[in-house]
Amino acid sequence: MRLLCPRCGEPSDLACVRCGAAVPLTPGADPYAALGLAPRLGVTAAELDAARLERAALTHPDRFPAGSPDREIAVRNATLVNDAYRVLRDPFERGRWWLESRGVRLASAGGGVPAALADRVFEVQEALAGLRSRPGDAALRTRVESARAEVTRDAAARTAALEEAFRRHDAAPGSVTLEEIRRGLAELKYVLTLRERIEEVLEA
Amino acid sequence: MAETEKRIAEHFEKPRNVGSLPTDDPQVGTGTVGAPECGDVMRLQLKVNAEGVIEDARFKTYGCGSAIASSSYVTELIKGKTLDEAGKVKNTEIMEELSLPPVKVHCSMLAEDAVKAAIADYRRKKGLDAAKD
Repeated sequence: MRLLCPRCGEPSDLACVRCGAAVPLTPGADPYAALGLAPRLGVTAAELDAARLERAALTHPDRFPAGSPDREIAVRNATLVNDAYRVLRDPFERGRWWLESRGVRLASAGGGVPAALADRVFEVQEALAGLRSRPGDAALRTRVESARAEVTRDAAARTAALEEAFRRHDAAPGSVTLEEIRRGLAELKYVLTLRERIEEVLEA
Repeated sequence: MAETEKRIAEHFEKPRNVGSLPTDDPQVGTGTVGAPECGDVMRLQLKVNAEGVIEDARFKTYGCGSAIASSSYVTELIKGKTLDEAGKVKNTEIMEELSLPPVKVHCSMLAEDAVKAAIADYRRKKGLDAAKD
């Protein structure tokens, strides 16, 4: 996406290379564009961190006179850059954005999960229900605590597998379908939601 | 009309058939299904008699009120049905009976999937062809 300087018309991004004016990003635009990156599902954390620093410097409100329209544009730009960073830095959110921008909804009908995962979630939910009604049950608490550790490891392993799939998708889009990515994200979401429920009960 | 509303409310407030059946009973089929988008999980079990008719059904659902009501209603619905009849239960029936709003469509889907999974499990146990589903 090529932006034009609103003051002098020079093609520029965030700050005009000719006259120095602030160049507004389009709200709700592609988060990759907001960070000045080419769209890649497997973009790395290091690339995102570097891009955010560079973009934050370009659109830092202090570059522009207080109270000026340029300053207002810069403040809005800085917000958009930060929002884009937040979406892309989280592999789950990045994957979801990628699918949704291609018309694939994460919660598409007939989703479901593998039986083994549903069984595991059911067991943990049963233990959670038990601990809710008997908070003093030490054996149950120990079981839920070890479930938390296991679920945390599972979420990390699923995230790593997704990131690997993201990289394969970048290298050869045909090698990993969007449906496979959707399923991986949906299952990760299921595991992350379970961990939240576990935390709620353990902290209650 | 008032009677219908009372019946719907009961599935939400006093769900029927909550509980479990022995998983290792050869006459019992168990289906556990999950909805990743909301975190719900549902286990439905059915017990089939010698005539091939579902004589009992139980469920445990960890999820929202609509998911619980959907499972309560569907366990009532399949009792007395043959496996083939029960396999034809559609989520739209559940939606209509419980007047579920469109955002709750996945709750009714989950109940339909749970019935299918329980039937498939029963058939697997019996060495019957589950491909019919």
